[in-house]
Amino acid sequence: MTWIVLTSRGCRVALPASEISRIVENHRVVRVPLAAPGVAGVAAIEGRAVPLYRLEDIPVRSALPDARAGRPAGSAGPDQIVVIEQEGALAGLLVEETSPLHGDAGPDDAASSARELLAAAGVYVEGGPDQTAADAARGES
Amino acid sequence: MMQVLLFELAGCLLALKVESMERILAPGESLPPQAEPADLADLLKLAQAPPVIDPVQGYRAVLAGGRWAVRVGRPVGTARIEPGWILPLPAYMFAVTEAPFRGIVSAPRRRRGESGEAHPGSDEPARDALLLNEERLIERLGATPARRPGEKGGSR
Repeated sequence: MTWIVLTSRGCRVALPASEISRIVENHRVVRVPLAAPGVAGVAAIEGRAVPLYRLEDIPVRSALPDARAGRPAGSAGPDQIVVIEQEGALAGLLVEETSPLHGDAGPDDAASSARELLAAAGVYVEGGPDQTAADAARGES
Repeated sequence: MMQVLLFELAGCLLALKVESMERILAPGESLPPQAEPADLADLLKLAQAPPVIDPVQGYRAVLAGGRWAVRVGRPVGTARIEPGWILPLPAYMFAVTEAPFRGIVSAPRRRRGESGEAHPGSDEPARDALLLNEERLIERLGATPARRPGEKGGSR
């Protein structure tokens, strides 16, 4: 099994490679007024508007702090966008680096999933009684 | 194809359909008597954003219907786009319901000479702009106070 380790500003998370739609680099980020908390902007990626979230700002349980991860404070911003999608809920994670890792288990305890990240970002609600972002994305009531 | 006006406002690149505007007022130009002033930066809660380097931000767009003269920031040009080029924005990325945006558009830009004339065939990389939804914009304007302190305006 291949994992992709995402690192950004002292935060490290690993996702199964199969749960990543695509990774793009040096993409234009559009600042969006009236955005929900945590939304860093939006990017037009392959014909879709992808809401963007900084990895280090997502309160994901399995994220590990790593003093070695990411660049020193004050350095240039994220270079990559990792696009994940779950049942119509779409998000792009702004990260500084991505690297592959092969193995059955994720690195340390940093293994996560697209579903967990989307839920932590507030994009996807796990089985909640309220309308989920996925339902909203599909235009369902 | 539709023509849009591109403008920079508080660090954002925005677009508005030309057909949704009656006219553009230059800085210092008087508002039409029936028009009420409004500030797009306030409406979009951009007041705290870093200022645009260019200090010329006093242009106003008189929206169709003539009721609102909205300060829109610094015009940077126009572009022709196909409706199919508009990428809709998911509602869950906004803090408000019915956000006043139609989506993102990639507006091609042209290299200009010293005279300001465009050079066909010398397009630079496109810029991504947020296309405003003028109908929702007008709804939001109607829900805000009619006049802002210190603003010049025509009589009602």
